[in-house]
Amino acid sequence: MADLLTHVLVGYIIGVVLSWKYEWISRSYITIIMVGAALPDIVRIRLLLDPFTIEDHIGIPFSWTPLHTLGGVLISGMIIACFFGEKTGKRVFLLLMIGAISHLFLDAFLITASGYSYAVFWPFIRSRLTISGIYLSTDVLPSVLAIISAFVFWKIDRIE
Amino acid sequence: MFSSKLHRKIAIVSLLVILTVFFIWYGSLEPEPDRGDHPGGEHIIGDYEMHIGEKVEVGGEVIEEEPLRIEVEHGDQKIVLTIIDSEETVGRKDRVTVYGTLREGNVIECKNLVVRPYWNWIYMYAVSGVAAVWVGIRLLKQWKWDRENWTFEQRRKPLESKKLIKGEKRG
Repeated sequence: MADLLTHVLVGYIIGVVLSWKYEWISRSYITIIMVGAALPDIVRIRLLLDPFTIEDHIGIPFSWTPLHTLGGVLISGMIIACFFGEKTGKRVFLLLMIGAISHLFLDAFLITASGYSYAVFWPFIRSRLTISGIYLSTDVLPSVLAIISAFVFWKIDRIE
Repeated sequence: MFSSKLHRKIAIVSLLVILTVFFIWYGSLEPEPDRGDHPGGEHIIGDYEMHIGEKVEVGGEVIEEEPLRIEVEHGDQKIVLTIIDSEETVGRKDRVTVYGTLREGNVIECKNLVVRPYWNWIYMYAVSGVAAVWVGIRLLKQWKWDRENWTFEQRRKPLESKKLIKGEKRG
């Protein structure tokens, strides 16, 4: 996965552009897109709660990886949307998915050793995509480009 | 989303059950190299002999540069693997992911190696932390928790930074 800053900045840019077309997308809703862009990275919970330790405790196989797949973000997005009012909840779910899909899309272009990306579409499709990656999760350049782009869009938005 | 609290609770519990099923389902999947899913560190540590001669994809920390040796972790279990046929320059503490054929004697014959330098690793976590704090602050300033309805509501006016630091007065 690319660094979280790159993801939330891309979410911010998408939000700003959408807010030019859809009046109801306020700053608060742009934040929701940014939350969506960070959503698949909940998978980092594995740094705190080791899946193998959980596996040992419950006695059955366990993995946090679904949180970083299409199926996982659909369900986690629905759970979050449940904590919003009736009309707001539907909008929140839509915006969370826009952010989350931008995250999954960007991560499909990460360089891997085998040349196979991750199972983006799981559980609908198990196969991993064969994509020639263009950057590493630890590269500095994507975040620098994202910072510059977000600044440009922020400036344009203020002028608008 | 839901008109009654009960319906919302039922929905949340149902979705959490589905998510838990996903965690167990994914955890029980066996590698399928034809679909790009190669055996990883957990499989090698679990049963090394079974995967000898197979293509594997393993990530670990560099503990020795010449010969290149990496430490792969799986829970509280560890294995040290020697990587041969790699021309990449690596440093101690760098993280590498290696794709290659598993050989006898804790050796991987490397076909491709991806290096993530140690300091880039630190950079990634640092900027990710900044991003998490930024999104958290935006959320607190623009949304509030309605304790009566158990929902998040948009604030009419964003919360001022001063109030965010000092804490918002209730009521």
